[in-house]
Amino acid sequence: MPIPTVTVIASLLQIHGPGATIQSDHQGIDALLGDIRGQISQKVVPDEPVATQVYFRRGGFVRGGGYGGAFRRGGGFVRGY
Amino acid sequence: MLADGAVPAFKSQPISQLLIKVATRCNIDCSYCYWFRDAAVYNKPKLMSAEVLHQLLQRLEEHIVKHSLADFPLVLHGGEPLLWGIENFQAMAEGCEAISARTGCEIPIAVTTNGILIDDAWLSCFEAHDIAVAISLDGPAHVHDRHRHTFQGTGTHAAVERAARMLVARDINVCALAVCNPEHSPKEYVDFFAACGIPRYDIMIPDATVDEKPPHIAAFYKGLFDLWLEANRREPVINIRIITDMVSALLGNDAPTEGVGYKPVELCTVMTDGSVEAHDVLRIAGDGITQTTFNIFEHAIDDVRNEPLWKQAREASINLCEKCRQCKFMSACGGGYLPHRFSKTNGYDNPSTYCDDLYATFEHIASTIESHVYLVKPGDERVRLSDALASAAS
Repeated sequence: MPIPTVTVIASLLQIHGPGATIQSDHQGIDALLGDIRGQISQKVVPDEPVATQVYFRRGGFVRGGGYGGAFRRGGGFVRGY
Repeated sequence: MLADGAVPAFKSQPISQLLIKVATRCNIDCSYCYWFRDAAVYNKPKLMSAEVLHQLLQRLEEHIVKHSLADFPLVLHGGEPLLWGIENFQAMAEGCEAISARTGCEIPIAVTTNGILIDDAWLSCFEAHDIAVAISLDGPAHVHDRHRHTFQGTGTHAAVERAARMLVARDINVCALAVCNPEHSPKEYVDFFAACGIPRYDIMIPDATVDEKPPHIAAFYKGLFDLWLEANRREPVINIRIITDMVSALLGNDAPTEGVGYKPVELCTVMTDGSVEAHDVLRIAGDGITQTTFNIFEHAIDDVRNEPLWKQAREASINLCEKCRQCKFMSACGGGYLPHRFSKTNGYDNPSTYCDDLYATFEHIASTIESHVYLVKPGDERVRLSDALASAAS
């Protein structure tokens, strides 16, 4: 499978019109797609690469959309950027 | 990565989190610890003083206000951070709560501990201040006690498992951090964490540089992915961080933890004396390698972005070697964990010492998730995402 970017997926959905979405028949994978769907629906897909928050591997912060009770929420972390 | 192999200009962001070393010594003696590979840590004060904490909180608030930050996570770390004491944790947490109240910025705090000192008083402190706890626990006793022992050489597993179960029983946000030992099966880890009631954990790739020849890990991580896939089939119940990060990265999302995905690593470490260092784990490469001349008494937090050593580490995280730039998994892998790319000869201009293993693992995961992800068109027609992408590209 070619590795997509959120921007590419957003464009793909746009081609297919309103109501098009990405899904998985595996609930664990679908939970991770939630983050991507959220970025696309909220139109927060950046035009240029952004240095997103990268958690320290030896820290306890975990982000994983749909995995209830995770430490961190997804989404933007800097107001105004 | 751009088509001609040039590095994209990542839009600049202010420092967005801090790793804070509140204690430089440890109360146990793990054989694989990166921290004491750098003798320079012994030159630092054992514990962060009240004066340094006060200055740190001031700098933190300045930084949050200047950059209008909505969210600024702190990771308290060591050595063993609980050696700092409950009173200091409370002072830190209360200081952060006051900054949050004044600025509206959320300041989540997490601590990474070996768990030995955890008792009811600590649990109440974590609970009162919503401090998330990462506990270092290498799975079952026969795996954990191979490396994680006391200074007298006895295993620490019983004490750490007890602490982990106490955290779970009090419903405190807990994440276990294990280090992979590929001599054992991933199922031993997964079964152990399930028995402890811990649904969120990571099984980290062992630290090694290119100058070392660590054992292969591909079979372990492919097996771990298969277990993750099976466990989460009907609902997402376990979050094995390295696996969810790898799957996220293959789906095109930013993996949120260093070591997976292609993005700059902009970690900043504040030491017990207020000095500011580049990525903590780079000390795996030797004595003094992370030291800068910056400190929070003379410099604002974001000043570290101008520090040559910090910039060097940041640039190294996105300037990948030729082999990585040609790799089909480049954007998902990002060259792996930065310290794993270090060699005395080439610095960070190497593929990861685990390159072949990472490639094999990504290949395995990608070929599996390909059959599970669909573009659903209006009218509910389903097309495999891989086919839709190929069709759009043609």
